[in-house]
Formats: sequence, C-alpha cells, structure tokens
Amino acid sequence: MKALTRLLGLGLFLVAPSALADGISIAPSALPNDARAKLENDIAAARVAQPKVFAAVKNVKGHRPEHYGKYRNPYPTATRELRGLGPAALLPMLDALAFQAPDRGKLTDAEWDALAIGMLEAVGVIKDARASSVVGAIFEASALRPGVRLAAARAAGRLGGDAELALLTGHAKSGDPLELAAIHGLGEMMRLEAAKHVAQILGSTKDAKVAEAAATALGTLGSSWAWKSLGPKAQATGLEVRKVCASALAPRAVRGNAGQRVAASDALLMVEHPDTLDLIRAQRSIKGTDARAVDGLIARVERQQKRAPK
Amino acid sequence: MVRYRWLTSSVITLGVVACGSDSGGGGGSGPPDIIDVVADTSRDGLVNAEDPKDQDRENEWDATVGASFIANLDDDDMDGKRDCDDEIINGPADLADLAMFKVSAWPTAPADAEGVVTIDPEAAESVRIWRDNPDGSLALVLGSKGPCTSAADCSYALEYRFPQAEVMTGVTFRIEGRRFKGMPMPSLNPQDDGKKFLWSGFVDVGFMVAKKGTGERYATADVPDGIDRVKLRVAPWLMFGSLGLHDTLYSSGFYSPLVEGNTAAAQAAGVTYNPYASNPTQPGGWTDIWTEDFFQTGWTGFPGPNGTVQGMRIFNPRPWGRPPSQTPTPEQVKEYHPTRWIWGNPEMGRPAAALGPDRGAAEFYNPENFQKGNTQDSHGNHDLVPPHKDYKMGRILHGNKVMQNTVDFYTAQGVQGPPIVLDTTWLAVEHVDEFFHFVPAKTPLGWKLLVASPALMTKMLEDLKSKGQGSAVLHQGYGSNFEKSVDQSLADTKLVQWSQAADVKIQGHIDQMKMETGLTDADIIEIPTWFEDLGGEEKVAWNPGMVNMRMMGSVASIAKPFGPVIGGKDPFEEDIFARLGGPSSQLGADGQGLKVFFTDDWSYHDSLGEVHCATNESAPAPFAAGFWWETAK
Repeated sequence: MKALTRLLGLGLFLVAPSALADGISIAPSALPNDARAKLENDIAAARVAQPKVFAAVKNVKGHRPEHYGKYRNPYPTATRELRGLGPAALLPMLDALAFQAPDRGKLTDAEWDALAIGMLEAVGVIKDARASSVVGAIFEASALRPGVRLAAARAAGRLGGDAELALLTGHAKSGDPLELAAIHGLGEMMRLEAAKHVAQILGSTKDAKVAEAAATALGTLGSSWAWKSLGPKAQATGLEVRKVCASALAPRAVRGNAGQRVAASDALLMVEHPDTLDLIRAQRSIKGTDARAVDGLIARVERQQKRAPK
Repeated sequence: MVRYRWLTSSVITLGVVACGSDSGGGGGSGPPDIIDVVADTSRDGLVNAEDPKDQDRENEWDATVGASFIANLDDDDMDGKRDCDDEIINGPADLADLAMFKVSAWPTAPADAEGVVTIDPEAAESVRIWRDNPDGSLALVLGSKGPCTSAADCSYALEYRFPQAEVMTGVTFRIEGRRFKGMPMPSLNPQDDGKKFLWSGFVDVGFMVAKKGTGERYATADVPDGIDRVKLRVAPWLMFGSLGLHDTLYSSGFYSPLVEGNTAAAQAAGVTYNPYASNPTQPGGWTDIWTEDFFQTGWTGFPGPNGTVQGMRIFNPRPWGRPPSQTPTPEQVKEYHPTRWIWGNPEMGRPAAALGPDRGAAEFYNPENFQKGNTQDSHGNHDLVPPHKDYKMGRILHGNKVMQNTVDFYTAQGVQGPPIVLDTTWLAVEHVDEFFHFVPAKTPLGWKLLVASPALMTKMLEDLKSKGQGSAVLHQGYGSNFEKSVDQSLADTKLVQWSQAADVKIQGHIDQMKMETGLTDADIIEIPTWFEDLGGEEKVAWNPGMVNMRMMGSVASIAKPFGPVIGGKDPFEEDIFARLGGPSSQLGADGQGLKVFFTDDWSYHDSLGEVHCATNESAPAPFAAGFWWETAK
C-alpha cells in the first residue's frame, strides 16, 4: 500500500487536491483494492441501515463560518461535534474522507481542512480497525496540508495496529518528509515498540524540532493517567513503556534548548514513572547538564509527588 | 522648588531684568516679588501656594510628591464626543475632571511685565490647557488646539502670554490629558510608534515674567533663572480585575438560562444587569455574545480633596470585532467593531453602551491594527493579579501572543506592569481565564487564586466510583462527547490523557505565579476540570469550566456543572458549595465564603467558553485601597 500511495503521490504531486479527491482528503483509488471494495460494501450497507448518521455527518456545522464565527475563538473546528456522533459515525466519516466528499461550496482551505481534521480526530478515538487503510492512505497522501496529515498521523497512532506501527515507524526517520507527523502519531500509540522507537529518536537526534516532537510524543504515550485508564491488566506493560519514556526524557529535560527542556520536563511529569527522580539525579554527572535545571526539575517532580488534590 | 518666602531683596537680573529696579516691583523691604506656578504637588486635592508641600519639590515626581491629571476621556455632556475631543468645557462635571495649577499673584509686578506660561513640546500633543477668565469663562490656551481628529486639524500651543494686570492678580489654569502614556491618537501618525511612546507622560510647566518687548526675564532670589517650574504626570490607566467593586454587569441576552443565572447573582450582589439584545435589528442589538472578550474595563483618577479620588471608569475595545455577516462589507466591519458598542453610532441608531458621564473610552492599540489581532487579544486573556508585593494596585496577567501594542501600553502605565506572561498556546481559545480566577479572601494577602484542576476532577470521579457510583452519568442529554458515566469517563484514555497534559501545563503556570507573586499553596483553591483536545494543542474544558466564573463582590456566578445526579443532588455542585461557600475557604469580604450561584451556560460551553467569557463588568473609579501615585511606579 505504501509503495502504491507513494507512487500515486509522485505522479499526482502537481495536481490540485480538489482535482484528485473524491473524498475530502483522498480518492478511493488511493486505497488498496481489497480494502477499498470491503469499505465500499460496508458503507453502502450502512448508508441504508443508518441514513440519519450519514445525514448527521453531512450536516456538521463547526467548520462553517456562520457557525464557528460564534465560537469564542472563531476558528473552524468540527471535532467536538464529530466525536459526539460516536462510533456509529465511523463509516459515514470514512465515506466522506475517502469516497464521497460533501459539497464544499465556498469553504476555504482552513474550513475544509477542519472538517477532515475533525473526522480524523473522531475516527482515531473510535479506534476501529476498519479505518486503517483510509487513515494510512491519508497520512501518506501527497499535496496534503500539514494539519490534516498530522491528524491522520494521530488517528493512525490511536488505531495502534501493526500496520500503523509499521507505517509510522517507517516514516519516523531522519530525512523523511513525514518524520515529524509520524513521531506525533507514534505518541498516540500506547505500545512498547512505539515508545522504544521514539525514545531512540529522542536519544539520537540533533534536530531541535524533532527532539521537541519526540519528547511530547513520549509524554503522551507514557501518560500515567492514560495507562491507569486501561485498567489493572495494562499496568505491567504501562510501567515498562513509562520506564522507556522516562529514561529517554530525563537527559533532554536538563540539556539542550529551552523548548526541548520544557517539552521533556512536561512529558516527564506526565509519565510519572517511579524512578523519575533517580533518572534526573543521574544526569548531574553527565557533561552538558545544567545543574540548575536538574534542581528545578527535581523540585517540580517532588511537588508533584507530594501533591494531593484538595 | 521652595519659593514662598518673604524676600528682603528679591531683585535679580538674569541677563535679564531685575525686579525692584525702577521698572517697578517689590524690591527692598516691601512686598515680595513672586514668580510662582504651583500645582497639587502634595496630592491633597488642593492647589495652595502657601502650602510648603505644594511648593517643595514641585518639579519632582515620586512616591511621595508630584501633581497629576487625567486623560479626560469621558463624555460628561453626553454629546457623543469625548470631553477631550472638543475645545469646550462640558459643564461642571467636566471641569472637575481637569486638574488645576495656578500662577500666583505678583501684586507689585513691574508695569512692563507680562506673564508667560510654557509647556514642553513633547507634551503639547497630549494635553489641552485652559485658563480661567475673569468673567468665569474658560479659554483654551495651551497644548492641542483644534478638533484633532487627524494630524491635519490639530495645532499645538507651547506658550501662553498674559498681561501685567493678570500677573498682578494671578491666573488659574486647568489641564486635561488627551491620552494615556503610550496610547495612540488619531492626530498622531499611527505608523509612528516611536512618537507614540516618546511622551513620558509628564508635562513640564514653566512660568516666567518677561519684560514686554524685549523678552528679558525677571528673576528673584528664589527663582534665579527667572523660570518657576512644576511637573505634572498623566494618571495611568488601571485595570479593575475580578476584585473590583463592580456595580454593573454586562452580557448578551442571547441565552436565557445564562441571563436567569446572572440575574439572580446580580440581584444578590446589588449589581445592575441589563443584558443587551443579541439580534442586531433590535435597539442596541449586538451579535457578539462573548462580552468579556470584546472590551476591557479599567479606571483612571487623580487626587481630589479630603482623600477622595477624582476619576472615571474607562472602557477599551479589542482590536477586532465580529460582524454578523461572514463576508462583511467595510461598513459592517466598522459598525460591528467593539468601538461601536462602547461609543455607539447615532447614524445607525445605536446608543453608546459605555461612553458617558464618568465613563471614558479609548483604544489602546495602534489604529493600523484595526480589525487585526487574534484570540489572545480578547480581554478574557487579560486579567489583573490583585495587589501583592510591590504591586499595590495589582499586576496585569496575560497570554504570550498578545498584540505588542497592547503589551507596550500596559507596561507604559508603569503601575500594573510589566505584565506576567503565561504561555496559553496549549488551549484552543488561549485565554488565562480558562484556568485561573482571582477571588476575594479574608487573609493577609486579601485574595486567593482559583485554578482549574484536572487532578481534582480525576480524584472526584475516582471517589464516586469507589462509592459505587460508577454508573452515574455526567452531562446527561448533551451528546456522547459529553454524556458519560463516571466509569466511562475514567476509562476514556484520550480524555484522561488530554486532562493530564492540561494538568501539567496548569501546574507550570501555578509555579510561575508562585515565583512572581509569592503565592503559597494555602492561597490556592482547586476547581475540578477536565480538558479535551480539539486537534493537537487545542485544549478546552470538557466539563463546564467552573473556574471561568464571574465575581461580583463576594457573589459568584459559576457554570452549572451538570454533574451526575445522586440522591437528587449534583456532587460537583455540593463540592463547590463546600469548597467556596463556607468559612473554611476564608473567601469573601468577611471570610465566610462566597455566595455561589450556578448558571446554566451550556450553550456557551459548547462554543468554547463559560460564564466569565459571556459577561463583563465595570466599577466606578476608583477601585482599590491606597492610591496609584503612592506606588512609586
């Protein structure tokens, strides 16, 4: 699939997105044949069985100026509405993204993208493997604006299957144009393999933007609250993942530029691994460590550990 | 300078003219020679040439001495024009807004003398100065002349001369500011930021007695160079903040449940509340429902007699407005700019919602930024940390992407700045009022900080679960993004992950506040709040953001939480009553807790805001114990 979509991407790179897309973000032809056929059947059946949900997806308003113009920050976002439609909206959203876009009318690029981003955010939360091919194809599609690609990466990460792991780790490599998006996508994937891959990136990269993205991703996928939400059975894996995250984050939290340090420090506080303080203290003796940053971070972690919401 | 001493020999010349010469004057042992200008340097609200406190150090300005005046931006005669924008005195109330300075009488002034009052060129475009005429009228004599709607219809007078007869009797002058320090004006080139900030905010007034025809100055022992000087400073603009003694509450009438909740709270607080129509076709109709965001309220004032402060409340608009059409015409952009709400528009039948007697209006951003800026320029992102440390009048707090014009203006006031800046870019709306709110408390500090707390929200849900209430449903009937049981909420991996990320950010903000203000944990009260993400670094309160509240004295209008109903009660409401409403909170003027009103703001919540965002308020000037001029800032 990746080879096909890359080839398609190269061939169509100079073509305007609207010309190639039957869906909002991609044309059906961007999907592997078997996945495409299966989805077409599923969507057709769902359209008959649940016409109201299709109508609801079609009628979301958050990306339309007459609606978002009333938001406190008047920017287009349909994410809440689409998430609110629940799992039943999966196939209507996949239909809109890859097969049959709603009428764009006079929507601007930002408004049109908001619809795609909202759908991808919602699809990721639904976490249904039927979305895999669409999300993967959108992630790799050419002529895609960054916000949509990033949303596709996050959705892929949330789906969290082996295909998504391969897709994202394949792009999370130095020099790959999709590297940053792929790292963010891996951050949504609560798997040990994802953690190790991103930790390796954080440990080796000299690129500040990549380091910041990797630190943020590790905080997300190592989130202690998120692991707790998965219940007791996930705790052992969670602890292992969080250890990988914390071990990679500690050095970055006390070295490098301010942006990286903030991202790494915040991420460490999300991971909340029991060894966090020891990992930070161990940085003291390493060349390039900012001793004040170590002290400050230790104090922050200690405050967090003592904190009891009251 | 010290001037008011009886002189035994006052006649001095300065390449100049000697008083007591045969040109007249009171040399020798006769009456004194007097070359004196005096203002309210002592800050007692009186101008008294015989008061050494008005005379000593009259050319200085610090925490203990220095005269001041205000930018006269209200409309006492309600002609739709600010009082400083015309060349008349608009009645007794307007006159009271002008600060006085006097040229003392020199009864034995030489026959060839004339009085000369000067102001420094930098100040001329920022002030208008009148003199009292013998017939009781006033005449504009110094500073800006003309309507000054642009540089083309404004001229500047730096010097005013009056005849010997008036040197003998003395002359009273009145001064008003046309702007605050750092504030742009139409008569200044908007591109010229350098000029905008050039004015120090001070006016240096000089008085001399010149020999008519030659221009030579008379001098005395006390005024050896022949020029007496006094320094006056324009009063700063000061933000009210949530602890202001507010008397008026504003909001749109767009969502009746919000109006109902606010009405109850406003009545309890004794605050006037008349929501404006949201339909633009109705009288005063205004489509922007985010009332906190499109204007800010503050005040200005200078010393009045008997410890009073003479001043006015000031309304300033956000740079950008929300025209009802998505493809507005230039006329609609102007018609629905926040300036029109404040000033009104007689041509369209729109009354002024703010400008009026003791209610001033001013734009603080550069005019070239009209309809520019972004969400961070909304005033829900600009708040006042109440008094602390050296910031006796509080210190402004705002997000990190505010228009530089505005930041410069805040800093230029010198009293409530430089602002504390928090990185709010992790939020979809990017406003500080989404996670912080300041409330009155009977503590040494006098206030506490309420903070949105995802950790507390988690704990409360976990407590409910442990009490067997896992199936209780939050936000019943509000769609599957919001309607979740306690168990479902705690198992929603993304929701808790987003909330934890928000928690870390907020804890970072708290750390910064502790460092900047000296806050301690005892001064902080957590309010349960989870956050959802709309698409990467776009977080917004998931449950109604209760911290995003409206304070009216000790009365709070707080977003109704719509928590689970257990035994007929909402445990989140009960928690807030306990947390904020009881004596253990130390909150309120009497320390017995806030009077809490829950207001249904769901429609606003669904549009990314809450009660604070949906409302605004103002107070009569002055607000605050103590005086800004004593802050030495």
